[in-house]
Amino acid sequence: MDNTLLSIRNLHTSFFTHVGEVKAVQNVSYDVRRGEILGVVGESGSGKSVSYMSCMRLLQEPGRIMGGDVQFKGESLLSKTNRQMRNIRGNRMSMIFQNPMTSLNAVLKIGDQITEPLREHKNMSRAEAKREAISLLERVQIPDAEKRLSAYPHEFSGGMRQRVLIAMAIACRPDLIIADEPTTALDVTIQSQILELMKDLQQDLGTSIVFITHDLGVIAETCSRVVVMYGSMVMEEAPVDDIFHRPAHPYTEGLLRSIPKPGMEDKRLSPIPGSPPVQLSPPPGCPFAPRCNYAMNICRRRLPEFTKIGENHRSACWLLSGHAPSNNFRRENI
Amino acid sequence: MSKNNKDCLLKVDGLKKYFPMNKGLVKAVDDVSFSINRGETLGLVGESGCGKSTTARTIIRLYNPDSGSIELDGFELASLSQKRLMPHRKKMQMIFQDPYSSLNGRMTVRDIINEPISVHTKLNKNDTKNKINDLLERVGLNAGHANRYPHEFSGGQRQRIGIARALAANPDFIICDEPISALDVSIQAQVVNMLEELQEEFGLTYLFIAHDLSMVRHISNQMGVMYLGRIVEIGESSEIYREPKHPYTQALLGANPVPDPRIVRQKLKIIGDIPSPLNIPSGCRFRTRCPHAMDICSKEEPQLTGSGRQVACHLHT
Amino acid sequence: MTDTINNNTFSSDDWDNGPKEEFLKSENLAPSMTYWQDVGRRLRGNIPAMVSAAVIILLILAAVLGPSFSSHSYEDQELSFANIPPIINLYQITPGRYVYMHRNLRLIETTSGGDLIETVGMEKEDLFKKKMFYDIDGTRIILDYSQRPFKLTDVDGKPLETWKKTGPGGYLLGTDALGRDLFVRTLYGARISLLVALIATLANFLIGVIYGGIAGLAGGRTDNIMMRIVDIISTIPLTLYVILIMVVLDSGFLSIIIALGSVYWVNMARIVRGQILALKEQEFVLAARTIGTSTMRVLFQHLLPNSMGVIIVTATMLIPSAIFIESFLSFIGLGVSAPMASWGTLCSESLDSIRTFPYQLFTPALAICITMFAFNFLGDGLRDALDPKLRK
Repeated sequence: MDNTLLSIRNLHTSFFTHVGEVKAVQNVSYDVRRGEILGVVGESGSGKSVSYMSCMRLLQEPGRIMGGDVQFKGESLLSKTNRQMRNIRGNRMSMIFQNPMTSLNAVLKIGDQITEPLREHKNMSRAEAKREAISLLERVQIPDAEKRLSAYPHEFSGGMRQRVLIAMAIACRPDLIIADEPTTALDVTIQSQILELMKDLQQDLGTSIVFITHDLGVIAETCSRVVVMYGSMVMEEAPVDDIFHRPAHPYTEGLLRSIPKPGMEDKRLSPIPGSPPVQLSPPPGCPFAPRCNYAMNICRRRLPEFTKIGENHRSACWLLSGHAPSNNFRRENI
Repeated sequence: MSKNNKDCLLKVDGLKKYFPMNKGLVKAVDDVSFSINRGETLGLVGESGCGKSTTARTIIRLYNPDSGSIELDGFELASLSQKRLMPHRKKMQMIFQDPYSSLNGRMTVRDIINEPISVHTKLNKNDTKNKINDLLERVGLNAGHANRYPHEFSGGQRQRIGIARALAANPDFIICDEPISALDVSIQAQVVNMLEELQEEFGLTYLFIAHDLSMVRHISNQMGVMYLGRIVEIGESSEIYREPKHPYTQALLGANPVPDPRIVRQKLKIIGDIPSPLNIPSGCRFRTRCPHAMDICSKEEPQLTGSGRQVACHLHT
Repeated sequence: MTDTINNNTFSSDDWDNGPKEEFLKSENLAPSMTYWQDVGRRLRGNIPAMVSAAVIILLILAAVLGPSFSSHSYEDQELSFANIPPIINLYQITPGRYVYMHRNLRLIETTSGGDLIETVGMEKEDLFKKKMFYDIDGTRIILDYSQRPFKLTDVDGKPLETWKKTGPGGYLLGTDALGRDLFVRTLYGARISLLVALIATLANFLIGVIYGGIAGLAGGRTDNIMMRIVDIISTIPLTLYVILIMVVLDSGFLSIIIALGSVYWVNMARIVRGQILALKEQEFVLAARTIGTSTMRVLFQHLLPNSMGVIIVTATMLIPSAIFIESFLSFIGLGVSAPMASWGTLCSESLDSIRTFPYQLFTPALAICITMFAFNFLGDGLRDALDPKLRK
């Protein structure tokens, strides 16, 4: 399996707050393959961002990794020293954050911020770094690249700033880019430009991209594979077409029913009832069970195991277990 | 719009709202006209800074309009003083975007919902209590929640409290200013469904503001597309969605990601960012980003033309 | 992934659909905790702030009740017992007769417990040899001041042994140059300081909060004019106000109170105005306005309660500087007039004899320090507790 770039195994991350331990990531395992765009979809509090902060070892107090392993190109990231991690971050793997307004340092020129990773990781001279920075800005389609190097972030619009952040992220030709809701703060027309740009860059550079988002539309347009998270666990992992057309988890199905279907906008939506779980004292069993239309007794008693449904498609649901009696969900979806 | 005047609840005509800034005049709302029929929903879409929220806030008179008329249920509101406006306030209410900042964290849910009741009605203590409990039940909460504070609720529940507050004054018309954009996907549908149920039950009229086009398409009968303070296209939302005429509407629809990987929508690529509202392009405001821009576009501002479906574009005149 | 679970591990009803959840009606919310309960919890976890709060409470109790436990009043002068330090060396002359040698070359007879009785009359003095001769119940002793340190000897010139060290009875912290009880005077100083703190807080709340609130709420031209007035007030130094007011009124302390009360609210007004301006754009305030809630109700029900955290922190942080201003003005002679005592006048009085009797400066200075520390730590703790986001 040389195709695997990042492999997360049984990752557990908790936050220790004054009210107790909040399990933000529980037993999360999946792979990111070389050259793919993987979508990680989930609602707020599903653990989708925390799992990547854990991978990058950027977790802030009171968060702590409680178990599991993260392997990047066959090497465990959790056992690396901070110095080794610094050399990987921004160099072999980089991040793009949600808010382009706060992700750039307001008192530094754009040029200085783009050349920083180049000089840090590639040991480039000032002139080399500058030349490279100009070509990076051109690459992300910022007009007048050379002039813009000496501009400050506030002179850029939100979309332009996100382009600068993308330029910074690809500066060292990383193997992996983690994009945490990179377009959520942008307007749709700008979002569409940025998504196009990221897809193009991914094609050109062959970088893997992990796209963390809550927007199913963005997932459908950009990703090739999808991981669905809920209540700090992985619910389903499948190629993008399966997620939208053969969802094998009631939560995935519920999400799709919560948004207007293309071409059937007049139909009433059928939302998932209830509210997202409070992770302070999760009940035993499937985190989705309290909101699930198909929930059985076992769902509230025991955590479901993953069932393999097809090539690259697995889902953690008792309905799919070989022991489960024939049921409507399985009949309609699988 | 040549609709029967009888069932037209809100008629906005030539509405303008300018903000003087240090660097010049921001024409946030520049000659906006539309009307909404009783019991129907008008969706207003556009990107940030297009003036859709300012339009809403001017209609509900959080801002005083610079010119134009706002006619609600036959009464002209645009020129009324805040004092004369008071009796009309209860007819229109607003639901806000951010369920966290839209509720006063120092007040209990009861006090929050009681505010419009105490301002606009003369109910006694017992009736007020019953009314608050009814409202809570109606939005899917219960009477036991009345003594709690907003921070104890999830985002979706807080938005329900906001809806209960808007309903408390028995309004005819509710402005929904991006009521679902801060909510989780699975909660958005709950709120949208509730708004639809309430509309049927109480015959409410909505002005629904959002940037999620598919949700606007889902909930609204009419749809207006705004760009830099102007409406560039307005009409039946199903028609606009099926066949957008204005290049900006086309771009907006094309850019809206479709939650189905099998549908590849052809995209009208528009380049660049929205111009600064301080520096609005001459002629057609969209011409700087429009792939079809012609000579006339920089000289003459296109007006909304057509009946029913109206478009402000030189391609359609 | 293969299903390795044995069929037997399932119980028979595992695959039944259980009871449907009743959402929202039954949803378990966390136990209700109001904002202020939450603040209290966070504040209790902050040890320096809690210690400071305890110190402030003790200080208030001591200032209010303390003087009534002492036999002396703040203005009782006893010139013969002037400048007695808080700890004195007693010498036993005969069993039953004890003396204390004062730094200014007097012998004071005391009881065995250290209570001061009276100055002992001198038998004769040899000015040439710098010796003073005393006769107590037939025992002759000599106070030798020919060389430092001065010592008490018997007739043979052998130094007397210190019998014991003790506090001067009734004078816990010694006496000042006029023989007044320093302990009682320090407590009276605390009264003055706390009164100043109270006045400053009242001025902040009654004038500052409302002034700032109205300016922020009104906005526009009104706001502009009101804030320019604040600017003008804050550019004129407080000392000048005090002096100007002293021209009209005699009493120094009253002038300080009036000066503080009339101008000390400007910082609070600025901060409240800033808060109100920020809150005014929040959606819950917009909601209140769309409802048609009256302006005053918007201010008192929505804006001020949400600014209360900042207001309390600001008030707490402004108290120590008010106390310091009063002490400073008293120190330079613009404050309370004798025989009233404030920490500032105590400090200034003690300066005359700082080399001989440093303890007289030590007490009021320490009182000022502890009070300022306590209010600052409490203010910090309150800020952390009221707004965890501000913590840095």
